[in-house]
Amino acid sequence: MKTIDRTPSTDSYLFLLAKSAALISGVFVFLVCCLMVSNHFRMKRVDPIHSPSLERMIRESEANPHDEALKEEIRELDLLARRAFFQSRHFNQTGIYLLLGGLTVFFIALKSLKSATHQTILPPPAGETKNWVHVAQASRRYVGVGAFVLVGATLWLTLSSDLQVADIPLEEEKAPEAEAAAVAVVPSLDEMKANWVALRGMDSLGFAEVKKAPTSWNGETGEGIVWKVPVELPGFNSPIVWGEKLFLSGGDKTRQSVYCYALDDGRLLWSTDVQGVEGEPAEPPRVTNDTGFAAATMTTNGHLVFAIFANGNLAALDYEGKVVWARNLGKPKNPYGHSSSLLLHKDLLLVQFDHNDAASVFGIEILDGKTRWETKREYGVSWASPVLIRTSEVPELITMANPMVVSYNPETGAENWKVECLGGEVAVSGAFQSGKLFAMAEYYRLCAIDMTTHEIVWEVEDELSGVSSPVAGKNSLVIGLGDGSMIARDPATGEELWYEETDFGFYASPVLVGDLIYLMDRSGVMHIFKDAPQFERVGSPSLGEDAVATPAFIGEHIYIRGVKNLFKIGGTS
Amino acid sequence: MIRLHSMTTFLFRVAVLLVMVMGFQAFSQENRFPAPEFESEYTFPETTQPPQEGLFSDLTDVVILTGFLLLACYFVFKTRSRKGLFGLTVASLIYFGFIRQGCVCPIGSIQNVTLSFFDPGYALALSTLLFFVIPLGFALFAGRVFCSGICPLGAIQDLVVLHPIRLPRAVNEGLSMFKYVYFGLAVLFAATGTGFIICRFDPFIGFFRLNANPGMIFFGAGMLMIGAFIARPYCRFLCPYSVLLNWMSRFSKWHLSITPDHCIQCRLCEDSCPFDYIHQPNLDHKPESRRIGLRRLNVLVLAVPLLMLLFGWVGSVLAEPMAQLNHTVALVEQILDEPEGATEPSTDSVDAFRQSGQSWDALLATANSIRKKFYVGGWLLGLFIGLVFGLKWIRLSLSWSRKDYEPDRGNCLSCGRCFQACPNDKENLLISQGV
Repeated sequence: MKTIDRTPSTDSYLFLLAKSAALISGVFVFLVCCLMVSNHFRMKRVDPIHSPSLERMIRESEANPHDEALKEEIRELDLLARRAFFQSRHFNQTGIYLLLGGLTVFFIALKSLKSATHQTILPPPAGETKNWVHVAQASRRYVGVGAFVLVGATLWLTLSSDLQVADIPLEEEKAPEAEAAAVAVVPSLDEMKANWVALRGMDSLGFAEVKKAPTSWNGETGEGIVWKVPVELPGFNSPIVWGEKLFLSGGDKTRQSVYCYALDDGRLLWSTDVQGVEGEPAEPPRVTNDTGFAAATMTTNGHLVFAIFANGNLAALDYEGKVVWARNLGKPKNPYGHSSSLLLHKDLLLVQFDHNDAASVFGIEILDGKTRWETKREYGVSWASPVLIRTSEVPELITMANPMVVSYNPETGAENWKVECLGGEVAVSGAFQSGKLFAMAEYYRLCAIDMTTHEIVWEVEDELSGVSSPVAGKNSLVIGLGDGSMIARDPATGEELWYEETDFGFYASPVLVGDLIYLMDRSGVMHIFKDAPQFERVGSPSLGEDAVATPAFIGEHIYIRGVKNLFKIGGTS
Repeated sequence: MIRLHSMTTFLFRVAVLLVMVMGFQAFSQENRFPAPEFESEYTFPETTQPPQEGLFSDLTDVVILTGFLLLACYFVFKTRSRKGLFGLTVASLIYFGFIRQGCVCPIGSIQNVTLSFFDPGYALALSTLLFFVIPLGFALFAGRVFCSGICPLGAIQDLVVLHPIRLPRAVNEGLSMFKYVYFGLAVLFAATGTGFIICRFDPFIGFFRLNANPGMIFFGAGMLMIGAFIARPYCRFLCPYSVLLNWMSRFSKWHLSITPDHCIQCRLCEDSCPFDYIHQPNLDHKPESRRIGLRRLNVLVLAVPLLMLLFGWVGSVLAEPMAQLNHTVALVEQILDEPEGATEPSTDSVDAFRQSGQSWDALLATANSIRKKFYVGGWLLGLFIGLVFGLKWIRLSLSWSRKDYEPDRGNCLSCGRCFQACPNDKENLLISQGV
């Protein structure tokens, strides 16, 4: 609009007020903008949520999961970081309010100033109007320039910068690298802890992550039993649990299977036979009745479950029961039958395969079953299961065999150290507490090895177990013996703390749950007592049938495999 | 000739209405499956959510939108009231902007509607579809009354226009081409499921929600500051919905007129439009030589296919970098870029993918399918932009005779500022008579 006679009424009070408001609000908006920009760049530079020191401490904590002081330090630092982050967000939020308010005042003041001027609309001076032919000509030129700038800028951006994407192979021309780039699912330590992924818990050391479990039930009357379902094929392996599914294996001379049950109601979701594996022996190996064809406990990463059987078949199945891969490690020459359970470390399946003609420890790719590393051993047959001990960034894989306790790097298979302290038939797995590893062989000895110096701290030669592995609490090292007696020793000195006799022997291993120890005898009676220098019994509920497998502890429930049935214990039926 | 024009206009309106009605099939699709549940020992805090607004609230918005559009028509055609339109602008800014927080808006609904056509698993809400269709329907009959003051993005810009500078017409025409590019990109990114870029780069949503990252806030504040001098820059040069409104409004049955009576050629309205959307009479202008004009027109008509091919090729070249913006394609690239033997995931996305248990083959197949879509989409986008530029050139080469001052039917935002300049306007007549 053409205007003339702009004579603002500058002496008006409202005009001066609007002018002052415009000036003040303009300066205010500018200052708010400056502060917001400053805060933005400061937070980008500091980035408290991804603080390197916090990430370093988290890595340290993963390597030392029992370091409570470190955990507390991490929590405090994390809280500080979060506070800083949310304070910045709050600052930004307040800035938006102030900016919007300032802009509103600014524009209202300027509009008021404009309306205070007297305006008379007049037509533009004659001759100012441009000929439309020239306007159209200029417009065509600008549109043309715009088109070619667009083309040029696009090509320049595309061809001269790093915006080019990597050469992703198409399906029909899939490069071999694409297969190699397939990634394995590596569960976090927290996920592993939240589930029951192996014999005697995550690292096979007999520690339950839950702090409390049921202490009374009666398998005969059904009291405290949520459900009870039969298991088709026999097996001495323990149940493992991930999420809402429970897995176990069973087998006889003709058939070996993996079973998956629903955790909530015990429904059998699927069962899959693991048979016809390439290299599988035509004649099954000889096994004794108290070992069987499915003595080794399975393991899982939350996406695949892994099982090994007495004929050397090793298989990975997905959670729908489909065999993803299977291979045979060779027919084990073993007077009782293969019983070493499986363990998992990151994307590797760890297998201790000690037999008369060949003994090895394997690191097997969980994705495809290929051997990443194999370390030969010269110790002959053993039945013990490996354990993982996390005292450094890379945990140690501890194996027991006659005559050596050997520590390996689970990522490479390299031997870390070894201590000669075992003899006879070695079937008992290790226990660990306060820097000491406890190794035992029946009719030979029980010794405590310092994990730092790798020296034997103490040793005893009586009251030893042949099958049931020990568990080490803060106050007692508990052993269930084959003759039915239970003994507790001082983990520091090996001195006997207490000795109790029961009617039946022990095959299942004890598990430490909070400050209680659960140890089930072969008749299915669970002996529950405190991890204390004196024997303090808490309960002795009975399953109502014989049991030899170590139970699994998840949430508020215990999952026990009897010789015939699988039980869920705790709560109401 | 007149009959032929009327028939063409009628057929166009029928075709547009048919397309709009066809869009209704999309909202009946099933909802997405619920989010997965995760199990851990961590006790999640109890989730508190505001009560669901439901269909009633959504349809209330639709009713209010329709009511506002009818009011705008009343102010534009019946009372010719700039004040009424200004009041509507303020009301709309408060309701659709600050109360409804700018969502759902017809501009962003372009993406929802596009995605519903390309992703059978995407459920399009009825209210979203209506928000997309209703302003276009009004534009088809009454011009861009939606832009007059109902669009909250337009409203906030309209209120800050202080001292509009008239850009040269040629610059105006050049800058207005950006909205076609933006429109094409928004459709392509929505169709491939890559993202809703219109919402992501909405300059004013941070103000409406009083919460946004500083980048968005500064972008919005900058746009408002520019808008004080270059009126409604987002609407004129960037708004993708204005592409559709422009097409509809060109064929509108009725449209805002500067004068309620015959034009007396007083020239008072000549500079009244801050957007420069008033065409001047040109009967007295010296015309261009017919021979030159025809030759240029022939060249341009022949050049359009070449221009389309050039842009199509450029679009196909740009397809790969654009595909990189898709999260699935980006994830594949991150995995391929990881050093051999790396044990730790390089990014959170890679980590999440590994945790998910999804197979690499499936991921690769999805990524490649998206890349192919971008390749085809890149060509189509390029052809579209080439066609738009070509048609613009042709349009600027044609002679349009005008004997009166007229608003640009496609671009006019129906803001009513020109009413105040026309001495024939009823209100102005009353003022001139001292009433």
